[in-house]
Amino acid sequence: MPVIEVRDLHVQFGKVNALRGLTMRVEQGDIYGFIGPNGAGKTTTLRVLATLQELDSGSVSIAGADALTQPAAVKRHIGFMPDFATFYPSLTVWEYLDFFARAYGLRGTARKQVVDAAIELTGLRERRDQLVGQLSRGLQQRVGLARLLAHDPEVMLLDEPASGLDPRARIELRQLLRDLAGLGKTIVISSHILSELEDLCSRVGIIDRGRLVAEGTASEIGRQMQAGNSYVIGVAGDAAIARQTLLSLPGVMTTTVLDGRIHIQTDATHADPGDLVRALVLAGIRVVECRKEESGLEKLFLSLTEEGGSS
Amino acid sequence: MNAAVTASPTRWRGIQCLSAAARFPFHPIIIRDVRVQLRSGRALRILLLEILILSVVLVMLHLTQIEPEVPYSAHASPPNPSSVYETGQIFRSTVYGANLFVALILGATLPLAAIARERSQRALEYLRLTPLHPLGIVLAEVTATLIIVAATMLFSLPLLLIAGLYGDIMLLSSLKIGWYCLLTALLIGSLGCLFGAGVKRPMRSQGLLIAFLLFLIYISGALFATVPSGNVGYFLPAFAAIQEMTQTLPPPVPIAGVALPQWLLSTAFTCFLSAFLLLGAGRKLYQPDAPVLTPAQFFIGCSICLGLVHGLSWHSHHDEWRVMFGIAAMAAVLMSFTLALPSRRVDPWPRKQAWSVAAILIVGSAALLIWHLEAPNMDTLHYATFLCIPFFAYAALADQIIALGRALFATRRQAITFAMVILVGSGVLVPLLTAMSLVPNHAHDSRERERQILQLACGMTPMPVVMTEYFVKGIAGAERDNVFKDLSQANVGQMAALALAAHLVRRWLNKRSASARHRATPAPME
Repeated sequence: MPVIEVRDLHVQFGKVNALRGLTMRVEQGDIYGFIGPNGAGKTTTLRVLATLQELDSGSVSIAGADALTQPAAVKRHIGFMPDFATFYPSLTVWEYLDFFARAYGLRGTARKQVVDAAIELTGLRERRDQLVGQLSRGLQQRVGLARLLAHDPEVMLLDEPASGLDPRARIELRQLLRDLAGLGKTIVISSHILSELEDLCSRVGIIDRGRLVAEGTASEIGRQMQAGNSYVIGVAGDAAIARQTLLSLPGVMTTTVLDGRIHIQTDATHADPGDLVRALVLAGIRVVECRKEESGLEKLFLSLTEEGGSS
Repeated sequence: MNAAVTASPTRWRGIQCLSAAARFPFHPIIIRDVRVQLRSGRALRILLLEILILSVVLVMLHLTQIEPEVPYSAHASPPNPSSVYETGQIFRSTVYGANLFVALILGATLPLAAIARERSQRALEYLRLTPLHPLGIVLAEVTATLIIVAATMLFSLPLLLIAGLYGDIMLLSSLKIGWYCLLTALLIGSLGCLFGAGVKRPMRSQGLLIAFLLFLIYISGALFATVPSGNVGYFLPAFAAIQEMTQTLPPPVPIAGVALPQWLLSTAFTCFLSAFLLLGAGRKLYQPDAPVLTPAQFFIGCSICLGLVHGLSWHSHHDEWRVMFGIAAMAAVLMSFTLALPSRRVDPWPRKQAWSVAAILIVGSAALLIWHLEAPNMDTLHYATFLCIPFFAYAALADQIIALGRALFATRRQAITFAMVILVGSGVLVPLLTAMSLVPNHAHDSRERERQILQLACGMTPMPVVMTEYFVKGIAGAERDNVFKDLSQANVGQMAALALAAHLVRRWLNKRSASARHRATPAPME
């Protein structure tokens, strides 16, 4: 049974349809990456999941509780970190976490244990008595994650958690999220930093204009979108002649010359790069480079969202 | 996993509420706010300002060359009792006045700023995900302010003791004034919470704060200082404090043969009003666009106020306890409506209405008890019917009419307009026009005709304005027979019938639109 199940979700702001029939499932222990351009509906989706946004139609179920009819039960299962996380700057890290532990009804030694454990897990032990307002942005994000752990939620919803972080803080954040997933937490994370999600997420959903246009692992989406293969061939001499030679071969669909290299798209039945090189050599063209082009998540994202835009 | 989802049994809810009330002093908001305030040193700065003011006063007192009374000093010249008393009075008043000033400033700024800051920083979203109730949050904000105010007053105790050099420190009077200061902070803090809960942008909150500080002039009761009647102190604790300082106390109000002191009445009124304001603040905290009063509440509130004014003006002479009693009862009824009326998604009939009935019955019973003690010969059951049922019936009717409007019309504004037209039409215009057409026109006795029209219209209208009017007249002890006669015409039945009809129509409309939505929505993909 999926931990998060969203069916046919519609949300409208005035005349704008923010979400148009979004359907998605997230399994236990997944790190689910939610990718989309600005205004695609990522934040709205996360806010609906967090019961902060009313939905117009559809259903949302988290850990078996319906978000519409059992919002209190859903809130017990989730921890939500908004895109613009704010803190109480006059409180120390420990006081801040203690405040939320109290707010979730924890008392006595249980509360202290939970706060200490959250501090330990997020590596904030040395900062526990420092004012939150004096911490760097990266450390504040850690405090935000520690806050989510105050009531030990099954599902963590993170809206753009890496925004504003330097590269080192991003790497630390990624490691921290992996550690949390290792503890059995289900994490839904939205971000514009696609390359990072590609490495981090076990599953990815690409959203555009309120609809999920692709879903699966990064490689699954790649296969879903590309029936053939992409190759890059570098030649010594006139690339235009080589391009004409390649286009005459069966199975070659498109060729593009970029930076002196030829980018070739073939269909699935003619996937042998050896045939391409042999044809060029027979035509008297010297080949200096031949490699298969990996289809990154970023490229997929662009192709999917552009496709949506033209339709 | 499912165990967490399972709701706790209803029968334990009362115990849970009591437990929550017992734990309230440890509310996380209180702990956080006190911690932050103490850390920021804001209270300390205000305290220093207070000490500075008092020091200036002390120096000025010495410059007037009035020697303090030094007890057991054989060499001291005999003091002038009147001037010593005056000096002590001035000094005490200054300490009290400074305390009142601090209470006003802290009460105005702290809760408003705290809530506005939470909203502008979007920290409320975090709180919204916790099990903290919005009403608990605003209550905790006010409580934290009261703690700070109480702390500053405690710190001013040594200064008050200096007044002992000039005679008595008047312990009881000091305690009363301290209490009034806390009540003032409570009242103003509640108002600040209400304003703060409606603020979306920080800049607006700053503007609001300035406007609010100006508003304090009214709240403090200073404008009423020149009014001959001293009754304002019954309602405004700040004015009561001023009366206590200046020893211009009004006489105690007798209710049921017991003389109730001013501090008790002032406390009761402040608590009533603060509870009402905090309920509104709690409602707006997570939804700043939500109205403090629903349209039905506003309508009923206005009607009741109008009825109250009419009823009071009916007799030139009335005792003050009657006025107080009427206002307190009306405030209680208004509060019960606040609890009773439904939110947007909740069906109006079930649990909240039961609470409404319970609240009205409790208030009604208390009122009747006092009434019975005051005048044992009156028909208690009649009064109970009179007090409880029409109001409840009207609340139910208003709910249903508004719900029907929402089902019928696309926008909220249209729905409210519809409801207003129906309610005003059924409550005022139709009965009045009907009555005017039925009562023959006698040019020589227009007053008698007006009376007949009013009486006839009252029998037809479900408006609470006339019920309130008669209620107050009943309190004043006149025309009791007429009151019951009019009410026995049972416009309650009209209201119930209207409410039922509206309810049925709305259910039918909802059912129809739900089935239309079901047809329009495709089956979910597995």
